[in-house]
Amino acid sequence: MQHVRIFDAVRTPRGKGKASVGTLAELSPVELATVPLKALKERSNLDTSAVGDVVLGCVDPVADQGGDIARTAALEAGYDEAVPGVQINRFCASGLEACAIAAGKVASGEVGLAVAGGVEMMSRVPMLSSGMPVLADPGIAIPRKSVPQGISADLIATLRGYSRDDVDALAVESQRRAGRAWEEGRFARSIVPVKDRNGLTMLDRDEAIRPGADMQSLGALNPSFERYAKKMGYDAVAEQKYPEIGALKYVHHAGNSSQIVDGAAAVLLGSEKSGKENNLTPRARILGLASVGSEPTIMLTGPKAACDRALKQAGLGYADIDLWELNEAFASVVLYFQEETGVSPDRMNVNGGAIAMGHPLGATGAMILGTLLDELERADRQFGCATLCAATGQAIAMVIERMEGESA
Amino acid sequence: MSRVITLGVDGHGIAELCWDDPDRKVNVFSTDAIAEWVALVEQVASDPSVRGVLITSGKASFHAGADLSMVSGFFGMSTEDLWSVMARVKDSLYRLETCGKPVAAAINGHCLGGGFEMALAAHARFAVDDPAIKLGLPEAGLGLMPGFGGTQRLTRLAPWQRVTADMLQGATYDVSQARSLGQLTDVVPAGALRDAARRWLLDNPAAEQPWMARGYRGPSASEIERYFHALNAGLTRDGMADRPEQKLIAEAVYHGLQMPIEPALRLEVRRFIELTRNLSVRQTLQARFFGEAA
Repeated sequence: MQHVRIFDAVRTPRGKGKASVGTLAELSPVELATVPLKALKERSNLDTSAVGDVVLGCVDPVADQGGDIARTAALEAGYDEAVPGVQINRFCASGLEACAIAAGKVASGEVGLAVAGGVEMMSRVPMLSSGMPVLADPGIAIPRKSVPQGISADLIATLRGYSRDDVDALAVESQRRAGRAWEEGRFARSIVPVKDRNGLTMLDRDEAIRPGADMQSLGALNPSFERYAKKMGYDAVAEQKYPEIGALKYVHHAGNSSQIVDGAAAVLLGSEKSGKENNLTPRARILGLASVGSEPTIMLTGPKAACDRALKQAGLGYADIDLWELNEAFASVVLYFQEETGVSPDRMNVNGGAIAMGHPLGATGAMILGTLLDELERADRQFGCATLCAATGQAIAMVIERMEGESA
Repeated sequence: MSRVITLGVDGHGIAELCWDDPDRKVNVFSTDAIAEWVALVEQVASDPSVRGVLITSGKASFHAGADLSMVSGFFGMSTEDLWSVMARVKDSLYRLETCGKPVAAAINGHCLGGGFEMALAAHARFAVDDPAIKLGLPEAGLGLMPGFGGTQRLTRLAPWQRVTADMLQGATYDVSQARSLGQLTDVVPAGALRDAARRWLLDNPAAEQPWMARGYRGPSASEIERYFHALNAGLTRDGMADRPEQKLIAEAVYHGLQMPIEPALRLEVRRFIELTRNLSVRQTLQARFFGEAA
């Protein structure tokens, strides 16, 4: 299979995902999704009729996020009307899954160029709006011992003995790194400021970030899932599935979990041949990609299995990867992965993550791929891996190699 | 200092903002009036001795809305400057309705456009029982759209499908229609207007807008969708392409009803500004009202 090229990657800043306070909340999901699509077109002076498909992740595709938002957004972004669009959902992995599907279309020869990414306006369409039978349908939820992901995150921490200080320290570091990255302009190549139709800038920075967060300020926050778990009985469900933990401990809260935000991202991928035909300079090639299923109650432990497979495809080992992006769904997810793989925190999420900047569910995968690409270039490194866990026990990983300075 | 609007506070802490522009036959939001209005709203909102706010008119009519020559000037302003003007009015009306004090409008005569939008930011509206009085949002009839919150507050106050249809045509109401559509708190004889509004202010110290109340729910997404599927086809059939204000009003309502009032008010201002960036709208307005060559 040929190595698919990545030509460009862009994202919007992330706005707070609560309608009463979020700066992006007055936009529609379609308008937000057009921002990165237009930027890709303009930055590469792209003849969009050469784009074979637009694949966008969106986790709650209902109401104004529904109706195949990828096609609607492509039309509204001014893409040639011959360019189709498809919306996909693999929960939090959707944005990277969209890139994987697009890469597959390129690799198979179905398309020469593809645009992939995602959008989520959590302020307009709240999480779980599209339904979750794994929690709601008694025939599924009861035998499977299903719990919501916050409980799964606390279950990981309990199982591995991560203390409140352990997870809070990771969150403080995420905020510090994200703050520094913004200060040093490390996101400059990817960020597309969101403007209104009159050209007025609405948002040009990640809005939820709190670089001053410290152990003391996080220490003051109450656990998010304790009362809920006890009231609903999810504590006992988790303990039945993992009797060895004794009692569930609650360490996650609003400050060490990914923040609820609005955002969109897009990546331009294609074959070597199509890149040349369209005067595109490749920035990276995809060496390996994999999606996996994992145990669904603990839910968030799949990234290692996904990385194992993606690295094997790439012919690389964990030590070969210079930079990692693992979505900070919850702090325990990151600590668990580091413990399982031996990957150093110094090489992972070096510019912060979703705990600091937020996790617009359907878009995050494409966002962190762009962040990884930018940092490989800035830090002059070769190999990177982006990975995310996803609901009901799933994960995705993609290994890329930087190509800057090379001819296609 | 104030010329257009005078402020008086009575012994019960009721502040009266009386519109009576000495240079005009009717009250309008001119550039000067906006400056006075913004300052006076802040004054009554922040003065702890003020316990309620009464908006009145010293003219035969209540308020005629935005000064059309000012609106005509909007078309030549930079987007940034226009945003700043519109945001000041938006913020002042929002400040008034959320200042924690009851606000009532005493509508003694015609109450149109921006004047009606000002009255919608009050918690109660009392009108004189006079069949000649017109109320509402006629902007679309002039090729314009409401920009002081009308698309958002009226659709939250009154049956939204009906008032959206009216707004799209610029249709106005008489007092009895406005009352039956839930836009007026009460209709009273001319001599009883001030007292009725004052009495209401004293009796309702904790007034808040219905759409700010806990448990308020706007129309459901599916209800909104159903209405707009038909509306979009109908407007297109009827030549909406020549009526940019109709598309922008419809967009402001469609999206605005799906979010809280604050972002919805910003959204309306953005659509209003978008309308003023349209050269053909400017030419129509100038030809119609100022006799200038298109």
